[in-house]
Amino acid sequence: MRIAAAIFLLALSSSGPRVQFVDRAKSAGLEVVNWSGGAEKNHIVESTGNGVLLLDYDSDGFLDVYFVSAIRLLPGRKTEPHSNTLYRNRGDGTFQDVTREAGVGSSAFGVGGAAADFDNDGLLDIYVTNWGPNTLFRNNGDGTFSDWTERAGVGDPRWSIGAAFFDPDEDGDPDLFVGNYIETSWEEVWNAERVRLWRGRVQVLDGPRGLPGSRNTYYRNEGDGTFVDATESAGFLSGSGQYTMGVVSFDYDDDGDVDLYIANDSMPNSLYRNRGDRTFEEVGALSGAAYNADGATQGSMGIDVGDFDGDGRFDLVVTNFAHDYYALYRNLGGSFADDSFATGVAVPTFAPLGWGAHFFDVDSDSDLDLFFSNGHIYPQVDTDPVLHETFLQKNLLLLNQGGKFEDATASAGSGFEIPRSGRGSAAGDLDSDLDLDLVVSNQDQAPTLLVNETDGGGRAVLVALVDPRGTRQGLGARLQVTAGGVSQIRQISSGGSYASQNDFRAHFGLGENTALDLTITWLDGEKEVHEDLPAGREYVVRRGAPPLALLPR
Amino acid sequence: MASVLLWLALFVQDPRELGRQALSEGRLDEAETHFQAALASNPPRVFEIHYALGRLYLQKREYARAREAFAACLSRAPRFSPALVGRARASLFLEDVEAAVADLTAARSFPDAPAEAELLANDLELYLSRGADASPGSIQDLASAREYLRVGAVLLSGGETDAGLRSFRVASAIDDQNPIAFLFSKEIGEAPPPLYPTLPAEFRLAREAFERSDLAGAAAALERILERRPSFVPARLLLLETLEGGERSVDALVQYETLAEELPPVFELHARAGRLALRAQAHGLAECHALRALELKPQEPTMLFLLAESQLGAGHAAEAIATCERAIASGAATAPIYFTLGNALHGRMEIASSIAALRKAVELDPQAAEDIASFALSSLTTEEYRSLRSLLEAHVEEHPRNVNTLYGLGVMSLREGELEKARQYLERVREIAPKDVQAHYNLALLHQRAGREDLARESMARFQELRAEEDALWREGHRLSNLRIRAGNAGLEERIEILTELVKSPSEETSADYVLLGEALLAATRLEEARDAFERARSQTARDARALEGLSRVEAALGDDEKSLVYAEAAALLKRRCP
Repeated sequence: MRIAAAIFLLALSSSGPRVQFVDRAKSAGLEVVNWSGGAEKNHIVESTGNGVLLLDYDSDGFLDVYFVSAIRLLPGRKTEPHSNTLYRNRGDGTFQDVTREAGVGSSAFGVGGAAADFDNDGLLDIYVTNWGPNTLFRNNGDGTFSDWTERAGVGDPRWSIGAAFFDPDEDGDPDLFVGNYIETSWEEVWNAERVRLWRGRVQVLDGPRGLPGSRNTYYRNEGDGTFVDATESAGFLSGSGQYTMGVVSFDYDDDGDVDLYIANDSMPNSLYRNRGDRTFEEVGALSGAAYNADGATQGSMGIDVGDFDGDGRFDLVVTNFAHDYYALYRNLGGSFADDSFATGVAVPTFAPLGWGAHFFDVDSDSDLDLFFSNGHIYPQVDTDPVLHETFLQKNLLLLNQGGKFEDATASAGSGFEIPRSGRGSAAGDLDSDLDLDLVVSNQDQAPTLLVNETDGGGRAVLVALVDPRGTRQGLGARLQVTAGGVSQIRQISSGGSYASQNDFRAHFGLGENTALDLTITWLDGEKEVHEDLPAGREYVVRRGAPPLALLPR
Repeated sequence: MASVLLWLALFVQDPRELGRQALSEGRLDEAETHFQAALASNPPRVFEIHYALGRLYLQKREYARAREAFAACLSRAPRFSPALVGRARASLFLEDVEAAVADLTAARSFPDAPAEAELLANDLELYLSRGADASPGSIQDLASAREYLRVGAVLLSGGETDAGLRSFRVASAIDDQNPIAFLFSKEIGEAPPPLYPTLPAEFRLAREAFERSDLAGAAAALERILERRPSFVPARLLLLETLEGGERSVDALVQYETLAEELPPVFELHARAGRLALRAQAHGLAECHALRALELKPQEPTMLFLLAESQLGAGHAAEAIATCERAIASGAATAPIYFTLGNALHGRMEIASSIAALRKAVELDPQAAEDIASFALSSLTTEEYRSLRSLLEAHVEEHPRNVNTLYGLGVMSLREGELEKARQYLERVREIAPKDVQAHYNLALLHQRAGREDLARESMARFQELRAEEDALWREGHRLSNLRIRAGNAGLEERIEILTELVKSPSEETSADYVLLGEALLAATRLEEARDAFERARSQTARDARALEGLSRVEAALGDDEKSLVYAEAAALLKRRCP
């Protein structure tokens, strides 16, 4: 009997982790509905939805959630403003709406945003992108924020979607890049008609092609709480006006400085190579990451950066439109190859319409899996029996099996069963159990909180950086973890996915390994190595000091 | 002198020749005069004149006189077997089967018996056996009276009297000299077609016009023939060729409908009509013809393919898939079937299954790679693509100018890191298709990877030039689309103005734009202009239906109800769907 039980247990354990996510948004109290436009979606501004930011705003060690909301449009040219919402993580699986107390509500037509400690005071600030002037909320350190937009000079008035803080000039102050989409007006929104045909079948909203693109903005941080518009001098006007959505910064060519990649809807994506002299050169086309494998542009909404094949180089994944595949660009060492089909990403992503994108280790087995939040922009597809498309869509989970991805959505638990109008998403450890959870902002619906309850997953670590000599959070720093002969890399970055902000802490899955070596390459090139750190911890690494293991919560 | 000249003229113009010429041109009375004159001159080989008179009287349907003439021929030339056949023919028309059998038996006993003897004997056997031993196969030669006789006999023996009658009617119309068709028709109460002695000559002239590409002249001549003898199928078939050659596919489809009503169920007819309907994008009609053809030959692979394609074209992907699966299950799995299956699955967003089907298509026939869009080829680079790659390599050896296959191999090689091979394939594509955007793009990336910066920049620059051209086309299309929207929102006069400008910019939508213009002009009661616009809209595809409906309304407004009805019926035909 005992032997039989042992064999049974052995069989169970050797069958691998059982990936499971459960949607706990309601029980956690994340119930705000993020509205965006009207029900029929006659104008494109009503369709692009909102992002979500994860940040520990009160430095209590628990990750909080900030949802951005737009304005609800009603018949008769009526508007119904809805505030952005800040939820404080209580640390017990529930959240508390602290928007009013914190002073981060807004009745603007919100889109998304990014977080960073722009003034290096040790507190995370929030930058909100809007259709209309953007907002910079400076963290006061007492649970409240102040509107610092005008003082900082970062109130870009255009329709902004993705944003990212990064330090390309390595002066220790986070600069800000804002991706802007289309020039439009309220009059155009009210008068909009669905005049275009989608796949020859249903009449849908116009754009983006044919509509005037809006120029992006690069704000250089002056180090005194203010920014200057350095878009032109830095070289960011080249490739601008191309319907920018997603924005990420990363070192694509391993030359030690951070570059910038932006996803442009229906236009070639842009890759800006940091020349190291405060200017950038747009090299997207020849890099292989501007177009798909056939030289075609794609819808291009959300982006993430990660080393999925373990070769020590950061690869890219970009979500795209329906009836097209999401692109996985493998980094070949300064150039990219569209390997979407070869890696199995293309086929399961062809039907849905994607927004948020995440490389993350779902089951902590030391490789990066993929998550996409999905939702269509044309409600009209539901009315046509020939198209086989739906407005509400399920999110997608693809598991990395040795560099090839398999669609695990159907078996990933109840959290993946309900189709929604998904838009921006963010990944982070919200329940402090050292695995990554996901928050999805759903358009015109309550959000989704996908709590990772994977059974039998490997050990993991979380690492947060503090850099008193650079940007406080260590933006642009590269972390390398080696355990059991396997090396993984991560970077610390702001923004990403679609108009959202992930947990700043780097997560590493370690499989069965109980210890790891950690190498940090700070943005200025200085390296530090910490050997034989125990797995199963959260570490805070202050530059020059030994890693501090936080007590389990 | 004059009488000498007249005598000479008479001597030079042999009345036998004059008679034969008049007979061939259907001038029967004149021919009879000449033959009688020839007889009166007591010429040598007088039996030939009696024979010619016999044939003349057959054409005039004076069967008793015909029999006498053939008898007179035989009395002078008893072994002249054509006369035996002719007399047998006359006997049959006189319903004297016994005499006909005797003459045919005698004719067939001669070693130099004409083929006609055997054929007529077979036809008679068909009649006498009531088709019991006839082959039940479908008609192969749509212009053959004998085929209609055979099928008619089979239908009659199977109790399908109405279909049998149609068959005999057509047989008589094609060859009113065949007595068997006459006998069968008479049995079921059908009179022979009216005399039309000039028909062969007129048809010959129509064919000559077609052969010298005078399509309008040929069509006019054939339409005149069909007015007099509607069931003369050879004329209708030639008219179809004329219309199809002149890209008047809708008119041809109307002719097919008429033909289908006249003929018994014929596989070949529905197959041809279905293929034409598919080319004209009248998918519902194509589907109908495919279904009717499949009733006659249930698993015929080309019709299963046609059915699936027409279902897919009509947007009925589920039905198309079912048809393809039926074809595959019945063993009719061809590359075109798998190709259609792949496309149908793709339309339903079943991408993995779509790729599997397209891969199968290429495995069965690497030529299918020519038809598979770049997306599908790219998608073929999954785990098992290596076996497919060797197929494509073999294919390109035999078809070195197949651009899609070359491109696919180039991309596969690039992904495998075989840069030199990739370069060769992609440069070949660029040679054959200098404006191939994808080839330029991948060459640029390839050169970049190989460290050849200058070549990379050059290829990328060319790629971007070509993309700019595509973008310019897109922008122009977008501009025209905006004009259409403006027109839709404008008042009538402004709408006419905008559409008049719009049609000056040719695009894929010009035909539809002409329809919109026609409708606007019709609303403004500018009828002649409306008619002109609808005529210009007629691009010989299913889109013609709206133009035809417009023309129907114009003609009705102008008081020509007959023309209006013709247009309305043609429009309805294009929009037909099978239940």
